[in-house]
Amino acid sequence: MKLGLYPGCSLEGLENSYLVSLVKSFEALGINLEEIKDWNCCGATAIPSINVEFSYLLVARNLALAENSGLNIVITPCSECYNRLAYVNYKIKNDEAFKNRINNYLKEIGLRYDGNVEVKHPVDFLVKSFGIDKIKQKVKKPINKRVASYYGCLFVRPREISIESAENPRTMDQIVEAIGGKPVNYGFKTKCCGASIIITRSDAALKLIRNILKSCKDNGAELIVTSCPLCHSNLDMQQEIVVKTFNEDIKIPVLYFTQLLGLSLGLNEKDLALDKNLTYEMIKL
Amino acid sequence: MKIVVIGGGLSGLQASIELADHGYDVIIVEKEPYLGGNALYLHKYFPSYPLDCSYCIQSCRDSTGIRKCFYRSGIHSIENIKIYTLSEIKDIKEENGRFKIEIIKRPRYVDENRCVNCKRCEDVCPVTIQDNYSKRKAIYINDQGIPPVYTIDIKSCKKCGKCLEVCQTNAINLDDNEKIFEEIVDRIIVATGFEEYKPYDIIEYKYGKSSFVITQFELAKILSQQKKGLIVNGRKINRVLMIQCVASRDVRRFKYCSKICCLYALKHAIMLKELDNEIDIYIAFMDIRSYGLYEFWYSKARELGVKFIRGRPGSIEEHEKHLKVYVENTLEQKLQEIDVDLVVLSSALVPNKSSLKIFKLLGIETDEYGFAYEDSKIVSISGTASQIRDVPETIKSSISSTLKFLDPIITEEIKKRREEAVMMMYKTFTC
Amino acid sequence: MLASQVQKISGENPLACYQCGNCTGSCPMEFVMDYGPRRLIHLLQIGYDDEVLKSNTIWICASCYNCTYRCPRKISFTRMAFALKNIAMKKNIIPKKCKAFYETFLKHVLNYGRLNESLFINELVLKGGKDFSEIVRDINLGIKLWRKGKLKMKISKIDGVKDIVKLYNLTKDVIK
Repeated sequence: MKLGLYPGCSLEGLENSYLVSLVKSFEALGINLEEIKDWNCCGATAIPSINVEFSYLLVARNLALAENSGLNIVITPCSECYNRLAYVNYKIKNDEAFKNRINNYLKEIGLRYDGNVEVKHPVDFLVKSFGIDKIKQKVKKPINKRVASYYGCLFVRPREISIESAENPRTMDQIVEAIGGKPVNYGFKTKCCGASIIITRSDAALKLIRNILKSCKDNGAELIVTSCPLCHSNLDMQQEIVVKTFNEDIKIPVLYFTQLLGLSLGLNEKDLALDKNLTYEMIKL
Repeated sequence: MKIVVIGGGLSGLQASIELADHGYDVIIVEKEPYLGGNALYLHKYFPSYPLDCSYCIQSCRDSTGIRKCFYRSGIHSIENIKIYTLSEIKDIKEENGRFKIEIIKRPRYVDENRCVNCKRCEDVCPVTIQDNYSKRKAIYINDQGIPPVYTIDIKSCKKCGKCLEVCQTNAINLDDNEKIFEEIVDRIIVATGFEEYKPYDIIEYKYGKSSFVITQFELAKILSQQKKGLIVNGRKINRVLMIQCVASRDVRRFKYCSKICCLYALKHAIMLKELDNEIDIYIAFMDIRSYGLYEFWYSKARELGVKFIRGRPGSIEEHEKHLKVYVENTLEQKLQEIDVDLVVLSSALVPNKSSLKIFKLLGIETDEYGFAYEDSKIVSISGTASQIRDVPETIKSSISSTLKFLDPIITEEIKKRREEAVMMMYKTFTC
Repeated sequence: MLASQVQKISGENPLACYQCGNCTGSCPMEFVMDYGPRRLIHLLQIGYDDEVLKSNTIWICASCYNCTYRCPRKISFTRMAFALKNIAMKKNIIPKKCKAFYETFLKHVLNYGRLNESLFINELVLKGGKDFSEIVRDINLGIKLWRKGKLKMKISKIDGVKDIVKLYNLTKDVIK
């Protein structure tokens, strides 16, 4: 079985550390990923705002390319991309008229998509397909920390694409448990961090970020792990601005779950691009 | 003719009494230790004010007087009614137009014919079981229960044998076993009733997670024990918020309106206000459906100062000393954050779990939620098994469900008149 | 009527809403909106189209799908907001900052097939997508990112850009 990888623009750009740590930690688990050739932007929330129909086609092109290269499963680490890819995939699989409409457009550029690809988020893949027990066996350095898993919105909602309840998801906590950490239970696991409006309405978005950080801190978390580059950039990159704006002591290190996983598998910090995190200096393991 | 009534709730009992009054032999099969169904745990009902139930009294011919009298005092003394409690239907087989039913009776560990309800066993029992709603021993009796005999909760019983020593009539047998009976009957009445949906799956409302989020039925049980003020889980309650239409009117769960939740929410709000006028009560609703004469309850609640918020709450957050409810007041167009001590969910009412098996055995079709559609000539559906009803409607439906089993009195003269009417119709509307 | 147009684009019927307010109660952004989601749907239902398109609600929606997840009528306000943004943009009713953001984003997709984040932010600032105070506030962050080597100046461009443009031209006029 060949596993595809759809990195997405953010992982190529500012949040490259997610891609690096994902590939490295998956290699350590013995999973190899094959990037979809010539993939394009999924459209995020911006393109559907401009033209919903066009945004479907952007996604469908990626899915068609994956199908052409014989990839059955596409791992989509970015939650934003996962949301778009999985939703359009769901629609194509369940709505014949929609499928035909999309394929009529795709015909113009010489492509066709029959719905044979499965889109999976790496968290979903590790827990449901790969197996928690297998991860447990490979752990070399258990992480003995209280870890808050932040899921964000787009990995668990809407209902069509989510693999578990969006009100209190558990999958990432299961991974944290497997690598020796203690999951922290807090109320803001899936509350929005405001990523899609951080540019247009940053004042409002900063308030959302503050609420999440505060809730983690109040519940005794020592680390936050994320599974989305947009959440990560909000919680990590914007943290200093948030602290300054609200003048509260809510500083807390933010890691990708793949970075924490990699550390527990015995990889070194450099390989996992841990030093690229802006909250790197705070991390004490 | 012998008739079996499946379910010993309000509806089943009403139907049984009707049939017994007409001289039929009736068998009641009830899965709980005592008759009464849902009504057993709700000590006040909404059709009448001051809160009491008058409807049952009306329907009870022989024993008049107090409320609930009709199954409390009357039913087990009626000769042609046979009551099987703790019993379930295992199988039904049709044979030459009659039914052979197999009944499993779970052990009560107390002999129904010997127990004289002297309370000695309860006094010596060392095991006390206490939850939010009641406090009882391992050997217990329901105050209004029929049959009026004790029952042992074998799961919590320590088998110390103290009750055996004090029992004067040797009624207790800790090695009691399951028994299987067979009965041949001619007709069947299904009165399996409803139950309250436990909304564990609506995680944003924290039911099952927070001990201060309860359902209306649970509140009713708590209310039946409160004399002064409301105390839940050791917390003095000063502010209560009720959420209407939880899981009902929801296309992902139950599309229908549960019909009576508005009314018992209003009833509870009024009861709370009468218990302690200082309690702040909020009702978050979408539409208050106090149809017909029940409008009285709505206006009464408003007059007593119950605060109505039109909006369905988004989520509930649990804090150390209170719960925070996020709700849009759609009339004020404002998102409100309300701090309360207790949240009460008016959860959907759904068909009783055990009814599905009965419907399957009898080949009765149901809708997607499990409410029975129609009944045949020899099977009749009574009460809330076919749709949610309030007490008066349940009583009426139970009475009407028995009608088709009664022998019609058609004289020759009536027959002749009918034929004439039909002929007249043909003559008038010949096309 | 705007409501039917919204239904056509998004597949969600605003008229099926029974106004319970669960969406507004779940909305993380309600505190900066001029109408909450529930009220916006109500305005749609009674045909106040101008108010709907001019409201800031649709531009503030963070697409978190919280309302969609909890809606008892299984209607998605998030998808309705996407459709409304499509229509508003066609009619050129759009706040300045949003316009800069969406236009730059689209430009990147059509020119490179991907979003080049570092370049994107630069262009956005030039186009007026950020207030002066925000730029001053973010300068420190920019320097930090540069030091960490996170900002990449290399532009990645896909081979199939032509296909993307073709797809765009095909769908450009779907919304009227």
